Amino acid sequence: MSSPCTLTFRRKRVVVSNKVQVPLKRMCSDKITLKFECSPLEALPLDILIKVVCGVEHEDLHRLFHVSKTIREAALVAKDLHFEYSTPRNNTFALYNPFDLDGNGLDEIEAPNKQLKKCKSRLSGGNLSLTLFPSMDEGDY
Amino acid sequence: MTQLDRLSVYHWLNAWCIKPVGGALVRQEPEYILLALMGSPLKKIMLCSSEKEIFSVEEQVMVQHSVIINNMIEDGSYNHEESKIPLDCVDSKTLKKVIDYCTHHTHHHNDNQEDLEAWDAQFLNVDSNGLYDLLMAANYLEIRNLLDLIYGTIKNMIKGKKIDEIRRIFNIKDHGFTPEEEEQNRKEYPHFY
Repeated sequence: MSSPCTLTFRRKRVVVSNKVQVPLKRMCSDKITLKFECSPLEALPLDILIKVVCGVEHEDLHRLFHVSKTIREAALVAKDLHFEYSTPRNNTFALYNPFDLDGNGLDEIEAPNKQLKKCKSRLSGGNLSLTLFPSMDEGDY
Repeated sequence: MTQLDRLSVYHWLNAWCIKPVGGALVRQEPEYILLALMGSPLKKIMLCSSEKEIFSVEEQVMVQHSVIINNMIEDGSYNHEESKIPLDCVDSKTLKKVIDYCTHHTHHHNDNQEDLEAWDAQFLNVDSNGLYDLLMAANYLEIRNLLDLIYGTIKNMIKGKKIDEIRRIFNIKDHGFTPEEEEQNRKEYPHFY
């Protein structure tokens, strides 16, 4: 980032600095968080950080919940806005929702329309015959 | 074309899509022919960085890439003779990089994908703060392809990495969790760390 300056991005004002000694204020969801060391990723305005998180893959999203509180905040919004409506690449297992604040309980992170390998075969014992003209007697089924 | 100095000749040739390459004249970028017929393809606009440095850049280059600048030109709020576009959020070093990106992608959009990707990789070979400066500038100017490029780069920096490594890469020294929360998280999801 450039030397201490105030930047305005779409109504969010961010003061950034490279210097470790200068406290960094960040407007974030109506809270001001004082940080004394600057991670350039966390210094991004929240709306940009959310878009960055939207770009990661589903598997990485869960780790991001635990990287830091700032990133968790962005990851939660990204999860609601983006990940709920997109198909993960790798979907061989269901993950528990690691962040359970709103009491929804376990969340399976799966694509809503993804074909699950749960279909039971309707075939039984290899009998593939099909009655074309069923008799009046329903006991056949 | 009134002045036959070398620069004008170069621009004229460029506009007509004929470029001197290694002594030969090579035709490329046919769209320039159409633009030359329609009007000057080399109309310039002035961009002013936060450090009050002025950058002159081809109008069509910025109009093609930046939604913000395109809107300014279209709605007539930019006067070519007098105005410069102040970009108080973008410093000179970053603005120069952004202009390089847009210019390259305008003039080389017919290049094959591999060459463009190689150029992009080289372009993003900046120090870590430079990457975020570019991201904020691209967001401010609404340059979609540069934004996507940077999002993809950050995504690859995160992909598959454990939490401790992500913190190291992005210099996150204060994660904000209480020691109890951190310990609980590590117990519950040891494979994440």
